[in-house]
Amino acid sequence: MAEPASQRQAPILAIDGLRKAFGALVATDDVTLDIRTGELHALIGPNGAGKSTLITQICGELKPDAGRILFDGRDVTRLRPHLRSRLGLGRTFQITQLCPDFSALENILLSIETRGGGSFDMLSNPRGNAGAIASARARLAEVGLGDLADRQAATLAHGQRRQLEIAVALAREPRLLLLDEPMAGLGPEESAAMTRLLDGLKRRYAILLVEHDMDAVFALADRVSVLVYGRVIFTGTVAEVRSDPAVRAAYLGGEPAC
Amino acid sequence: MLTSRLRLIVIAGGLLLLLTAPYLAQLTGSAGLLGLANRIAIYAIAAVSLDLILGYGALVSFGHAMFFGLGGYAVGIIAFHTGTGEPLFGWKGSNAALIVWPLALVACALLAAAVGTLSLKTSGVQFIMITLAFAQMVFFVLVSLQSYGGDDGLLLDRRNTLPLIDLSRPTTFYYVCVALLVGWTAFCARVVNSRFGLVLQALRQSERRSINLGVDPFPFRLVAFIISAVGTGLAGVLWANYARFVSPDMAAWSKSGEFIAIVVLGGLGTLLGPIAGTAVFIALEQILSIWTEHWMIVMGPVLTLVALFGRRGLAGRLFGERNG
Ligand SMILES: Nc1ncnc2c1ncn2[C@@H]1O[C@H](COP(=O)(O)OP(=O)(O)O)[C@@H](O)[C@H]1O
Ligand SMILES: [Mg+2]
Repeated sequence: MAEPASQRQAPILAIDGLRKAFGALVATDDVTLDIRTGELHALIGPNGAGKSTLITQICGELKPDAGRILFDGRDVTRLRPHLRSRLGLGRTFQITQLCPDFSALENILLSIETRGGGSFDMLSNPRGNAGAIASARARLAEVGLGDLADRQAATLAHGQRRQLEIAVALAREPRLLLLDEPMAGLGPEESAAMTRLLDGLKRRYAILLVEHDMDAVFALADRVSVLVYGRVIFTGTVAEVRSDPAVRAAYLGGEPAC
Repeated sequence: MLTSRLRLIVIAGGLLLLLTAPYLAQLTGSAGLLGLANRIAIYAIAAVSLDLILGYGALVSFGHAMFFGLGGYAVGIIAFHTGTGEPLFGWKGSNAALIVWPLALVACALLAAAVGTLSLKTSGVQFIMITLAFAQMVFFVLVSLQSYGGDDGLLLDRRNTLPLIDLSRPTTFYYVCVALLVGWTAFCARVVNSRFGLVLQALRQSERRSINLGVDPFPFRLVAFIISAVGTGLAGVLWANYARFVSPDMAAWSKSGEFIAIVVLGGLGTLLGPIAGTAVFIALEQILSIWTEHWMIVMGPVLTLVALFGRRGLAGRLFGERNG
């Protein structure tokens, strides 16, 4: 099989022997995983497998008990979360995290403003910065929210908030996107729209996609890792993961996957 | 559309009332009215300052009276030394507002930097309790200052002086307070709508989101806390000059509670709301205390009702929607 060129490059994210226990529960059990530049890497696994816990460790909100996390070759295991973000780590949350009182546009402006950690400038109003507004509007249009720029985030529909969260993450040109179940709670049409959106982002960004929607995963992923009880039991291409008997037994439950 | 016009009318009306209070007092022949308006103007500066962190930063400081007290005592202590000729750290003292007031505000900023550094490591109820604890420490330090009157406080023989402006004239002093209130409110409005304010407000709405965007919460909150303390200190400075009297009560926990009550009454995160809240609170206090010394028996339920039913305070509807 021909190796894609990206495989020979150093990965943008390398997780090595990561472990995290909550009391007796081992939520991350010796996880070793890498994400290559430009790759869309899906992480699947049953509820409670430890997918979100892994993402919070990559972002730095949660400290692992053991193991290392390398971002673009740099050891960030002990770096505080806001500093990791400034290195180019963008993320969305399983439960949407936005500023509910801000408009959609202000949420994007915030993301642009805080690229370097935020400013102590107390006089200029970022809402008057034409350059930032134009690029924020472009981001909103990109995710399909072009008409809703001035709507308060709290009043947006669930699916629109999910799209907005992606636009917020994109606005800072991240080098790696961590998406925690972006399709959760979306209807079939919204899911299809989200799949198209992610397909458009593919290869422009390295993406770690946590998702339950198997249609989306199989349509989008370059590689898939399967997490069960905190352990990565399999990493491979879509075709490999679909035919692997261990995966089917442990996760896909032997049912036809599509 | 309708609200924005109504808002303009209310703002213009309020400003007009503030500006004409001395004439209204003269017309009605009630000297007390000017004093009432002056107290409102001074307390409103503290209320706007507290709203900056309480409304926009969700930092419930239950100790803001310590800055009110410190601002007042800085004026009182300097006046004491200037009057007795006894040097203060080798300094003869001064009566010039342009020297005394900035010194008082610097003292408040330094205290806020220390208190903020220690208390902003916590949040929620812990933050409330720690700010309260610091304010209580300041209160007891003031009580123990026997040479400055201890419990009884300190009388000032005269107000600080400004070049060209005669602060000893009640009307003049009143207009200086109103000018400072307007200027300070304009500055705070600028701050909350600035790039700094955007981050401060984001931290209130979702700290998690903000951190994951690269924001370190602490320095933003600390700077907001210090600005808020300086504004509250300014109110204390003006109060000392208005009343020509300072006492430890200025830093009492009940004063901190009063500030919070005023901001909540007026409408959190609106800046102008707390000014209206101050007017209502001080006026009610005045009216009710003529009627009974237990005026809090009436004020308490009023505050509770506003907190329960007027989710955004008296002026919340009008001045609400964040950009106050
Ligand atoms: N902060 C925590 N404290 C204790 N247990 C936790 C904590 N966070 C997650 N867990 C547990 O770790 C396991 C993995 O959770 P999670 O990462 O959210 O799973 P997933 O995202 O794969 O559904 C679950 O059993 C969950 O209850
Ligand atoms: Mg999860």
